[in-house]
Amino acid sequence: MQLYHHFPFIIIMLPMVMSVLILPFKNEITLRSISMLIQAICAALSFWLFASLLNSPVEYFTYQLGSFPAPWGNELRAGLIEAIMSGAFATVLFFSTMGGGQDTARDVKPGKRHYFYIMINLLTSSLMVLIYTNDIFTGYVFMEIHMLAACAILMAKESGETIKATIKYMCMSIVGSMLFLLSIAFLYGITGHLLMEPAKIVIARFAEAGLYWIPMVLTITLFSIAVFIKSSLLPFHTWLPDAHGYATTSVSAILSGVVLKGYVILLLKLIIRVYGIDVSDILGIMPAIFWLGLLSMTMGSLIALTQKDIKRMIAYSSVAHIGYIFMGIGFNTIFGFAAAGYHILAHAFSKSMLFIAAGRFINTAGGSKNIPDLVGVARKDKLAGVAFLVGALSLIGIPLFAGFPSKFYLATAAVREGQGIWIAVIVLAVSTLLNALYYIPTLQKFFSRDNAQEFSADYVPDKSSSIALVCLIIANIFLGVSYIPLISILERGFSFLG
Amino acid sequence: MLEALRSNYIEATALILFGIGLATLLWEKNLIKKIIGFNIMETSIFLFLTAKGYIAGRGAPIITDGITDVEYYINPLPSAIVLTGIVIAVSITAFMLALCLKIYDIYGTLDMDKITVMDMAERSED
Repeated sequence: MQLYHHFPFIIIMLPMVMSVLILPFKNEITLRSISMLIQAICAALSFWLFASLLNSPVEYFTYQLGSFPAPWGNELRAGLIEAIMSGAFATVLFFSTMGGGQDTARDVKPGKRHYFYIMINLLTSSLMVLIYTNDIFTGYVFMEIHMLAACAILMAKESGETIKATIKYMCMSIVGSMLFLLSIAFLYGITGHLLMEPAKIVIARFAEAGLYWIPMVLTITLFSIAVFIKSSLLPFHTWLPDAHGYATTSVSAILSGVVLKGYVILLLKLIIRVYGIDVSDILGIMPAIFWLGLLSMTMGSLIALTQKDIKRMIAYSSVAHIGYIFMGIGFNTIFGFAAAGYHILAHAFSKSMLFIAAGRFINTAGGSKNIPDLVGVARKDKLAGVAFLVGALSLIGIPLFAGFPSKFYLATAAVREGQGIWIAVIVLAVSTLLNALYYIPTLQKFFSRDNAQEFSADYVPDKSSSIALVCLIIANIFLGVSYIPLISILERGFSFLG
Repeated sequence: MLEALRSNYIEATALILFGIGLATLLWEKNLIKKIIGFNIMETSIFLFLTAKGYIAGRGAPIITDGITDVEYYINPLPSAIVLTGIVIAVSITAFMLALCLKIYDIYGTLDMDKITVMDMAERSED
């Protein structure tokens, strides 16, 4: 066993153990630095693991937890997909924590800051488990920890609005969790396994013999609905705008950048590793995922058009982009998954940057979130203006930025499908146009010289948020330029995930 | 159909309870009732799992009198899942109750409809 085989375990346990050990610290800067250090270590180990896997003859490995071997015990699994996703998510968490630090210090009460950072660390840990786990029930347990940690950091602002948003989020999320647990009970009832590989063998046998048809359709449907609710696909999105709109800056960035995607990764692993592409194709759930994705893409953008509140507009844009990801999954081909994976990365890096930039705009404007009050704000805070520009252009899908290759590959996946899902290409184009319709006028207002608002010079953005924005801009351009190796790596990773 | 119901009456009861819990969670306006609904849902799944793991005529999966033969015990894994599930249910309930305290401090009511009305009135004043 080589050194990098232990990395997934360390990546999970380090934030979990440190979340308890940071309790004695009270100083905000110390707490934030320790949390950021942990996230940086997680990201570095993930990329090390990624590089090792890329150069090693094995494509993936499993890591046994506890003393019971495979069909009974608990396992982690690490392959290229797991490594690249955990690395990207830890990086986004790092920059989000860094970029919103000034607002966190202001919004979270002095006596409660250590609790806030405990939750940030728990969130990091549970996110990594969702990515690396090979056991369905472990996935459920950490889904709950993920939800509780996300709710806790959301309510950390302790205003009436955030607490109401948290309750909404909890009530919706709980429904999802319960459906997930019920589905696990059914799946365990028919297969007798909780680990993904043994369950897949049994399911393949059932599919061949035509046994247990209804329970299998039921379980995959329940798993999908649970993830739809938790990652806010359109008919289940009602909790998202409040949660992302009222939270403090770094929490908004974390919630939309990584929290939503952790569940999507888990669903991808369930579809590919438990049911398998062929069986899930016969079970008939994939068209539902595809059509809901299309609905979410258009409706999310249409609702975003009507928003006056800058943070709510970005939040509704998240609904649209989650739709892109689910549309890619709905193709049910390796290339479709790879394109969806690329969009997960592109959206994580763009959306966290948009929220950090919006947070700085709101501070410059003295706390107003209304777009009319923010006219000309990008001239005052130029760096945040450039970051917002890059983020918006990336999400619209302009070449050179992260969103272009992902949209291009989603369209390619649609055409490659064979039957030629032209509706996907048409909706992709319409949705891109709608994206442009709300981002471009907003950008115009932010950069406008005419009837610009007067902004007081009270607020000086701190250096760390500037560094975070610059790094995120670089990451966006990197994702937008080096897409050829990245997509082939994602394709290779997904083809070995099964 | 009726025969299937009779042999699986515990699972059927569990699903009916799940429905009751879901309806309570979604349609009740009072937050405490929502929490009760969530607990009914969670407990119904525990009932389902326990019923799945039970094998008639066998004992609880704790080694007694030094007997280690598998034939004497029921399937321990669903019981372990239920135990973990109880811990999760307790933490979610505790968190929700804490949120209820906070929201009662701010709005003076636990009725979500009234809270929404109060918020809208506040916004129209701005």
